[in-house]
This record gives sequence, structure tokens and C-alpha cells, in this order.
Amino acid sequence: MAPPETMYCAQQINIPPELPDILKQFTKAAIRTQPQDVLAWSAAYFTALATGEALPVKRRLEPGATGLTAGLLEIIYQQLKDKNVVTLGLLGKKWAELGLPKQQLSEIVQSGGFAEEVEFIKFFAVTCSHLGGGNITEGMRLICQILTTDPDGGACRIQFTLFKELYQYLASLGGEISQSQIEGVISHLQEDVDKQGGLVMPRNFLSPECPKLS
Amino acid sequence: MERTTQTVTTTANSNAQASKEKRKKRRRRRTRAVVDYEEMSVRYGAVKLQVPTGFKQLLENLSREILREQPKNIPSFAAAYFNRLLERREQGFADGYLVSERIVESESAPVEEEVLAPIEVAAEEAATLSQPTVEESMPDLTDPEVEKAATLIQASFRGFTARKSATHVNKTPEDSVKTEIPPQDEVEGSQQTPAAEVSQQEP
Repeated sequence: MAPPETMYCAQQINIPPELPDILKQFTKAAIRTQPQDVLAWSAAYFTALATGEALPVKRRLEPGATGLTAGLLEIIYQQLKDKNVVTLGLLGKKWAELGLPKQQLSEIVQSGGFAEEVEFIKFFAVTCSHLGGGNITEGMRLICQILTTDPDGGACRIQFTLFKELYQYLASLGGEISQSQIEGVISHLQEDVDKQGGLVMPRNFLSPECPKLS
Repeated sequence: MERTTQTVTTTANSNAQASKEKRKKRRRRRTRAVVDYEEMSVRYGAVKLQVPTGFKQLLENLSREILREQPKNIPSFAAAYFNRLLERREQGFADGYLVSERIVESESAPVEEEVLAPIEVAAEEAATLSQPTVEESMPDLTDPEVEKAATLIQASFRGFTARKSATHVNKTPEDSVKTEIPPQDEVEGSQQTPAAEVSQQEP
């Protein structure tokens, strides 16, 4: 690109001092996020920037990823986590901003049996399970990975109360997991949790000693 | 070639026996970034970072619109700009990227007005000159329909000027690259350097 000193016309073009940094951050965000629909994503990016919301930017590059990914789900989570209840319309909007296929959203909505108004954390849990290929164990691992406040590559600990709530919800959704199995998992994990200050991490329930989650 | 160096480096890293000098050499080679300005990509060994398809054009259009409008709040201007383009795309304008309509902030930007003023004044003058003879058929200016039509015409005219200026802006940097920019001291002379230079070099 030409340096700003270049004259394009008689009037020197005034470059707002904040513009270079805005464009730089925007470009970095685009490289990292690799949005499917560049225009829709750009509109969402600047709307979020103007209103001070969480930006639709992945924390790291996910090479070769298409469709929904953990990074994209994390964006949706960060943007909607403060809302208890969201409408399907809002979810559809976020979906489109990230260039995700509508088909995938309707599959998730169907498997969760969601109506027009959705409890966001439940939608989030079902989406994690969907992302994990319908496997509850993998879904719970993703839930921990996204919800944790541990640093990247850390233990991915989350509050056990939240874990219990989401696990019971996901397990009851399919209707194939018996109540005694659910209780067995929870009572087993409770021992680990008591030693970990009320937190649970994927290593606890991925361990061979832990009863199967599903 | 870059790819092979990358794999060599990773295997070398596991080999603790590798001599210090060799390592240094490899590190220097590995960290060299290959930058392609045309496609906006950077390559570090096997890792290639690139903007998504269509991003370059979009960034150019955005920059041009911001420089043209000089908005006070750039993020909200950009948000309005992209949302408008998105709307237009949903309405079925395939080339929504190129047809740029002016989006003016609620507080109009005075700088931009100055730039466009001569054209608008000229257009208005032309309009008023042709009007008097057909005064009977003069449309009612307060009619909202007329206002709508006027906005449409103005918008398409601005789209036209924008596209014109876009091709102009696109060409300029490339031209300047091809015809290597002369050293500073030569440029500083006067506005008509090319001619002056030639005459200086000829004798």
C-alpha cells in the first residue's frame, strides 16, 4: 500500500489518526476468525465494536475448520452469556453473522426441543453435545473447555453445580440414560470435586475409574 | 522450498545433538516471513496466514468510504456501511460490494461537503437552467415521492463517482510502483517534475 504522504489529488486526503489501528485490528480479526461470510461478519464486527459488545473474533486460528467449531461457539457464548433467555430469532442472527449453515441450527433446535424462547445455557449445552457428535462425554468436555476461566491449555475446571445441572439436562434429553447411571457419575465425581474446591475438570470424568457418562 | 525447511527444523528440534551454529542458521531461515501484498498473505515456513476471500476488496472499499466521509465515529460508520451493504445483498444486488452509496452520519461531516460541493452546485445549476422553460411540469418538491426519487438519483450518481474514484485509487499505487518513484530531492523541485527532469537529463 502506498504511504499516506502520497498525493492522490489536489486536496490532501485527511487520514483520521485512529483509522490505521482500526483497520489493522479488523484485518487481524479476519485472519484469525476466517469468517465464511465476510460481509455479514464485518457488519457484526463493527456493530459490536460500536456498541462495546464482545467482538465476533476467535481467540485463535482453527485451520481448515468449516461449519460450527468450538471457537465459533465460544464467540456465541461470549456474546450471549449475560442473557438468560434468548429468542430463536437472535440465535439465527448470530448464526448468520458467523456464516454458519441454517440447517445445523435447526438440527440443534430440534434435538433440544426448543420453542421460540430458549434458555441460553441449555441451548449452549445442546450445541456442545452436537459439536461433540452427539456424544455426551465429548459434549461435557467442550462445555468445560469453553466455560472455564483457566488459562489456555490449563485444567479447564468449572463449577460442579453448573456441571451437574448441564449433565443432568443433557442426559435426560435423550431419555436413554438411566437415573441410576446419572447418580452414579455424580456421586463418583463428588469425591474429586470435594478435593478440588467445588470444581470439576475433564480429567475427572474422562478417567477410566469414572462410570461412563452415557 | 519453505515447507521443507519447516519439517527439517522440527526434526532438528527433537535432536538435541544439533550444533549451535546450524540451529542459528535454521532459526534465521525459519523466522523469515514471505509477504505477498497482492493477496494479503504472510507465510512462515509451512504456516500461511491469509485474509479470507473477498476481504481485500472489502477493506479497500471501507477505507475509501471512511476517507471520503471523514466520519466522527469510525466504528459506527463502518457498522452502518456494512449493514447497508448486507441489506442490499439481501435485496439481490449481486455487486453490492462495488455500488457504494453514501452513508452520512446523523451529524453531517462538513469536510466531505466541501469536496463534493462543486459537483453538486454544478448539477443544481444545470437543473435550474433547464427548469424555467418547463415550469408547468415542475414537480412538487415537498412531495415525499419526489424526495425519494431525488435520493435515488443522487445515490446512483454517487455510486458512479465512487466507482470512478475507486478505479482511480486502484490504479495510482500500481502505477507508482511500476514507474519507480524518483528520489525525494528530485520530487521536491516542483509540480511539473517529469518534464523538468527530462530536460535536465537530456543535455
